[in-house]
Amino acid sequence: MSIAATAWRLGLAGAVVAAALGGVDALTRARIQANEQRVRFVPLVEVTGDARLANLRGSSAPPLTVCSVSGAPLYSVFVRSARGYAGPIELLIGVDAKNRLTGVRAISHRETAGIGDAIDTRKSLWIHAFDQRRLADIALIGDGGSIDAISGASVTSRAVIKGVHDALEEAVGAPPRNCSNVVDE
Amino acid sequence: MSSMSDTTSAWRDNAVWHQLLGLCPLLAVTTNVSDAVAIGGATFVVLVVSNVAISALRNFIPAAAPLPTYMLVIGLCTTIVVMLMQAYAFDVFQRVALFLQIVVVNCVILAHADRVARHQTIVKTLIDSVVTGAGFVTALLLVGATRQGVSYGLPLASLPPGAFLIAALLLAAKNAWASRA
Repeated sequence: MSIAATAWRLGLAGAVVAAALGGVDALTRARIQANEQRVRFVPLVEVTGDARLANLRGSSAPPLTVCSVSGAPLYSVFVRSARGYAGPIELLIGVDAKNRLTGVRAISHRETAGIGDAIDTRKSLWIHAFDQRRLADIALIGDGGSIDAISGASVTSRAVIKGVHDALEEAVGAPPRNCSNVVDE
Repeated sequence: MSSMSDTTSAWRDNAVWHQLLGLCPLLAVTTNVSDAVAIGGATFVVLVVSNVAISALRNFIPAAAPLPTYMLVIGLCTTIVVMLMQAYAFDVFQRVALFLQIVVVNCVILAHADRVARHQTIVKTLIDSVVTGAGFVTALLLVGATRQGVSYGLPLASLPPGAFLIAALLLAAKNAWASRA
């Protein structure tokens, strides 16, 4: 077979493949976008405990300040990187208008399986210890706070506590921020 | 590997345990059974559909450039599976997205296209790729189930080193069984 015939057949195959992909894309695009929209704000619902946030529009990238229709701030959501035992721990932190924590989640980490990974809600409920806490509570019980250490993982526990504490301290000291998203009532 | 057109390709010539192909997904996606099923199922579909298509096109595929044609067909099948899962099984897709997209470079599929599909009729290719695919899915399930089961007492099993150890022990067991007196 000549080079021209080979090239012709390869080109034809490429064109058919491109057309098929275009067709499947056209059929599935709307559904895929709806699926992506459905889960975009799930982490925000997790750290605020407020299911209404699933229907937010606009950016879903923290820092965010979620307000009511009247413009009153309801929640602030931050990300914070803490230095864990095995690498950075990325924390997503929700705070209400009274500077009380609404929830914390470790969105990525490399902590030891079976020990430090208890910060992950798929492994343990430990991180719920931050729910409804104020700045003064955010320390180990032994240090005068209200948070229990994870057994066998004091470096991990302290890293998360320090990350949450510092983020909340900054939030308390910061001037009021502009609304980034509005909750539909 | 002369006769690939019977059930030996599921067990004796199993793509994973005999030919040691497809080890990357075998080690990477088998931390639990449900991810192993998702990737195994997607690989099975891509293997069967792409190999039947390559067999149907075997007189069209230019002899000077078979590999680019195989990659086009396998890439097309993989991308369609990715899009369908994003549309209809989004939760599963989110867990296995990265490994789903690299099904396209799974050596089991390419080796099967080059060894079987380009020479055999559509029917023979269909039967053979179903059997080979079943063998691959079984291997993923076996490692996934073992790792998930063992990891409750031994967290190491769900980590990458655990994948190597458990796959090696299963391979040793298979070899011991195959070479028994």
